Amino acid sequence: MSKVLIIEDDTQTSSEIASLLVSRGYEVVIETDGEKGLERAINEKFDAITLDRMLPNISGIEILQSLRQANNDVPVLLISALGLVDDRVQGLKAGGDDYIVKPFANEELLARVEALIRRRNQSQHHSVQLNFLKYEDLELDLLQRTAKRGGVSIQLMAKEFRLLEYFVRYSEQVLTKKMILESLWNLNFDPSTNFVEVHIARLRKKVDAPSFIPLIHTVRGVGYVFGIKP
Amino acid sequence: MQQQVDKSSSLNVLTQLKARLRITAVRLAVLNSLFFIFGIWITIALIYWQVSIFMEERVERIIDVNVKHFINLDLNEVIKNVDDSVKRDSRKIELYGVFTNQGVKLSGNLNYIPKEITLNGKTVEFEYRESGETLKTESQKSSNIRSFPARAKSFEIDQNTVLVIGRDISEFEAIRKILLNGLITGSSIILTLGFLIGISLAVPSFKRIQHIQRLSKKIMLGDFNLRLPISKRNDEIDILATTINSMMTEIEELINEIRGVSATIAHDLRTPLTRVRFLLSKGILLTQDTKLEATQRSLLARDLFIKSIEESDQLLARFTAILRIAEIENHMRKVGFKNIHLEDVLQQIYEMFEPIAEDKGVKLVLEITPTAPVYADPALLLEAISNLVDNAIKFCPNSTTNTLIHTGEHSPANHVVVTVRLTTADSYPVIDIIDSGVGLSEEVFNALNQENNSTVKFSHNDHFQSKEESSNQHSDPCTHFANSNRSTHAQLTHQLELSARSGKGFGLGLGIARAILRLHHFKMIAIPPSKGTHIRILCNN
Repeated sequence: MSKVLIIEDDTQTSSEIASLLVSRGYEVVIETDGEKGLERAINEKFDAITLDRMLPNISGIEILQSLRQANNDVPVLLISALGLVDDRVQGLKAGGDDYIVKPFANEELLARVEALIRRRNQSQHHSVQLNFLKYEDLELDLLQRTAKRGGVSIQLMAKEFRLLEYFVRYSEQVLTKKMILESLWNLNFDPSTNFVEVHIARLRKKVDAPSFIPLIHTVRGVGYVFGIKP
Repeated sequence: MQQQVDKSSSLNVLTQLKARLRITAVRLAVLNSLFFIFGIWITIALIYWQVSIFMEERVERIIDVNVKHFINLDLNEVIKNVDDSVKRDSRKIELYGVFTNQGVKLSGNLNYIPKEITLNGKTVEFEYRESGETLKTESQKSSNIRSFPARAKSFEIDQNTVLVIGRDISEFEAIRKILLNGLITGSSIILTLGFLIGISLAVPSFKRIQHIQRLSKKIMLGDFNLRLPISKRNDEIDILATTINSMMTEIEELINEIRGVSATIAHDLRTPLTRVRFLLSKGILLTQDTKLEATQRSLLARDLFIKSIEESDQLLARFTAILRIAEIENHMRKVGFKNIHLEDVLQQIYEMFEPIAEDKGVKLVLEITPTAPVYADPALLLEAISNLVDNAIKFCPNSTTNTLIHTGEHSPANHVVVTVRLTTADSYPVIDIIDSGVGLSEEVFNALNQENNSTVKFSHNDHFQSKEESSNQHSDPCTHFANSNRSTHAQLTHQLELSARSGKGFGLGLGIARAILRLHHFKMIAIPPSKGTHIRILCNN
């Protein structure tokens, strides 16, 4: 069971986040005081931390910096009301793994925490970068930038290949539109209301041809999941 | 009471005088005068020194000649010659005295042997008093007893008598006094003149500074429309005033923007908040409605919650847009500026939007002619042009034809086309975004062009009450307008954003694009197309 530390001074927000994570089977520890939270983060083992950026005595950025200086590489999701581009950049530069702006959808938070934990587990188990990715009958050659499904080559544009690679890496996990947008296009703005949908529809046409089992699934109002539906 | 008033007014005068003395012009004039006086003093001191040497030598020579004349004479001859010489000296400047060893006068015009003189010694200078006493009292000084400076030396005529030969050097002293008086008078005149010139130079500056002080106090009290006066002289005060005025303009705009943001928050966010509140209240009433079945209530409640979330999202989108434009306009992102090639940005935009256009049945055409690099923030420019291209695609009517992909060929006339073109005009790059959509109304078209032709600076707080707003639809969050002078522009720009378009969207795009392009000092204008909209960006920063 993954263990998550929540450092958040607002008790209502922290209990909401906690109940969300508990409902997904996470073990949760709440700290409302920044300094105690930092102490706990250093002394105990956590799989992820959700860290409020604006805390009363010590800022989230300072906690993050202290954590990284102590060579602690636990994945940290910064939660902040400061949503400007520069705030985000500052948060990520300080050592944050991801950044989410208040208010946020429950699914968005869950998806991001899950992605952080997944990424960490993957990097711990596969220290050497794989050149091939495989999910069921789908194969990706990361060096040749080619994709095959059921042995048949799929013609993909550069961006489509990156999107598919992202899906495979985070297979069977909910990926929100924001996450896709940030990871794939590195945009700090929403270019269009249906931007992500259109690009995924294109990819879907190529990957999920009628003869194959669909792999790209829409999670209504949230995002997408890549994988075989249970 | 009257004394207090007098004291207070004299204190004021003193304070003003002190203030004037502190003025640089006065200081410089006085300092200049002091340097001038110092120069004169040095010159006169040199002259005095030279004259002194000359006169001392002259007196010495005359005394020596006389001594040579008397030295070989016996006492009787000496007395006779002394008497003759005294009689001959009409100017009474030659001094002679024949004395016994005991100091008893035998002949001459000297009454005693001055104590400074030593027998057979060198010529010495002394103050000779005819009475032989030091004049101490005022009455003595004012009496007819003569006292004058003199130089003299003595030698023995024989064993019992001494001859003192000297000269009155009052003339020399008079010259010295003339020089000194001239020095003092001249210095006083120069210093006074210097001070007066300084004051006359300082008074206009001082008055201007006082005027600036008064204006500054008014500005500090909140009258930000005021500006400092600038004369035609273009002196240092004018240069400073020009800089301060520019700074004031910026501050005024910033303050207006801050006021605008408050107004925006109040106006733009209250409406959707009211809607959310209304929906939630409706939800409470729904739970109490016993006429409906539980399933129905649950379905209706779900519908209300979804609508509430959607409204909240719109609210957040508005808020984000306001902050985003504020962030851009606060120039917080100047760090990302560098020389970039616009073709790279446009190529990226094409790759991003080509599927979107295709999905809508619109043909997106990219026409690139390589241009000179521009100094810009590629991420921001990508955002600005993306918004414009997004709008162009969004507001194009859906094509009835099959989807098209980019081929670079001219499209058939019946296809809906959005063209993004990069060319060079007057040595700077020009980006055209042309669509065949619904187009702009005449007033909106003029408003967009007026913005660029005038110096009026639109800000994110240029907000307007729109048709959509009044009908409780989504409105442009980028704007509110505190300044009535800008209201016409604001309203028209808002129409550009909303009323002239018939598609969906929150109208954030143009506001953000406008802020980014303004940050780059690029101009955005509308060109009259035969059909649709033609936006041109002149990248001449």
